[in-house]
Amino acid sequence: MTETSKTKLSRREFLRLAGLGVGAAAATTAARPAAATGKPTAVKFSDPAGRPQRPWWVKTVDVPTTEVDWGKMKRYNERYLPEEQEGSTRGVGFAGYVGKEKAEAIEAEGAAKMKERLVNNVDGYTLKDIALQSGMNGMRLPYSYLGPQKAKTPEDLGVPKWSGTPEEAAKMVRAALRHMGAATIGFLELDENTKKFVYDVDPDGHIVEFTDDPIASETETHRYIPNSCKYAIVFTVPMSLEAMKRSPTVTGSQTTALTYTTGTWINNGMSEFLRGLGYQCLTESTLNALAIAPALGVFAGLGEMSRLNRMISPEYGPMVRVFKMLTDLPLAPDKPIDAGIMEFCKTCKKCAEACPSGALSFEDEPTWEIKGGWNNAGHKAYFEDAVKCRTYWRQEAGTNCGICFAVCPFSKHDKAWIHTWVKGGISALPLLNSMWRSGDDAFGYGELATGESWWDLDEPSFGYDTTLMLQK
Amino acid sequence: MTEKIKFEIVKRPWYEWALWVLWFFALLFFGQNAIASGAEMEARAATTFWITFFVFAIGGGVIWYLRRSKE
Repeated sequence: MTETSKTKLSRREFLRLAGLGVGAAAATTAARPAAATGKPTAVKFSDPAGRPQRPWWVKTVDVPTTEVDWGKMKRYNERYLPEEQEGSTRGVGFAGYVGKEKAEAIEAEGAAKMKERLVNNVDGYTLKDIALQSGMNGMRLPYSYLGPQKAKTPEDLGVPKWSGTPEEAAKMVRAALRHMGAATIGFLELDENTKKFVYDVDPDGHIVEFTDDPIASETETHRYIPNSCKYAIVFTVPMSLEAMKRSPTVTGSQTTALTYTTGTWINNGMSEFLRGLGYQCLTESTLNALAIAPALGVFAGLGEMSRLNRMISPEYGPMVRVFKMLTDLPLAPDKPIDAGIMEFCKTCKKCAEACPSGALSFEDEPTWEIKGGWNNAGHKAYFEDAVKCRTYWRQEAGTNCGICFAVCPFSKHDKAWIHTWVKGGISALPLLNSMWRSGDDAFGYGELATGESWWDLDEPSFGYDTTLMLQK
Repeated sequence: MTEKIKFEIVKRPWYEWALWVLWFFALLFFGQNAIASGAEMEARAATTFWITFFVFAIGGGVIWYLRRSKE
């Protein structure tokens, strides 16, 4: 018996179709090798300065997307100064802005709530969450402006100090920083304008001064930066998005603590590395000291400012902490970028809607008008009400919040192709920004999760994936 | 039992093939996003992409079948 099956395809057409299928698969593979072969273990630097291959929608620009009025900008006091009503809301600053009595009442209320949550085993505030937070802080190394100063210098070893071009130096420092745990890295050569990003007064009250002295030093009251240390190294350390989705709880805030801890490792590591090469490296003397990190990050091309009044990276969104250090090793500088992030923030407002304290701006356009002494004037931004934010932290959450980070449409794991398409769309088609935002909601992105469910996750080490930078 | 496969030459306009290529890419796109959204633990996104994937796959299959039977 003979059975005949019919198909209305010519052989030529069948082969053509098959060829198209193979071609499509090949094109997809070529366009995004990691998608077909898994994540690469490493890639070779293709740029002489080691700059990463960024996607087409991250454009390099001469002027950042945040307008700056250098005439109005001045070096900022990060330490709250009562006589000037200026400085951070961190530490003594909070009491300075709200008044000592009110601050104490807020602290007492917050502490009582924390105790009650612990006793009642409230989700995200259980004993194991609090213990984990302590663990993250327990791993932290001491902060030091001048670093450990233990590495043998070239002089100690009887050899000349390392020498090379600024591009070679940049590539070398990038390789070292990535190995130490940094995700994205940029360099900036400070000039008379960008020197204003360096604090006038550090958080611990030390006055920071530039000097012609060749060697950096510090006293009980001052820190001196040699003018030769004009190269800023700026890098990011990501946070765990899965942990941050548990905001505002201790489960959520512990990832921030871990990031600051990692920052201290890298600060110490780079200090010793550069000392070993024969150069100086000046780092944070305390948490968030030395300079305005997001500003340096923006000028070094790591990201753009945003409605959060924080830097958003094209690769990791706002899910990063930015760190900085200064060195006298000449490094090839990077340029700012425009990935449409600031423009998208004008339309999106998702973070402001989600902020439980109402601290974030709902204005359509950024403004030159600061909200208070915790902001540094001289740039056009969405200034936040840091007192409202801090009050919520201390009175209600009892810990860092982070909801604005978790809900941001740029906070994604970046495994699905749709994210790259949308980011490309945000950069190339800003007219559709409201559509991108609606899509983000419709697909359920930015939804928060329970603290307890985080403990069911087997996350990558430190909770983030730095191979993202290798896939572009 | 011997099976013979008989190919019949059917002329289709070039744009129809182009549409099938687009359909193939759309399936690839929705499928990747569905799987990756699952890996991202984005349940609603994964569900939306899976639904879209199956609607496209079944829709394409139905159109192919209807076009085929008309020839």
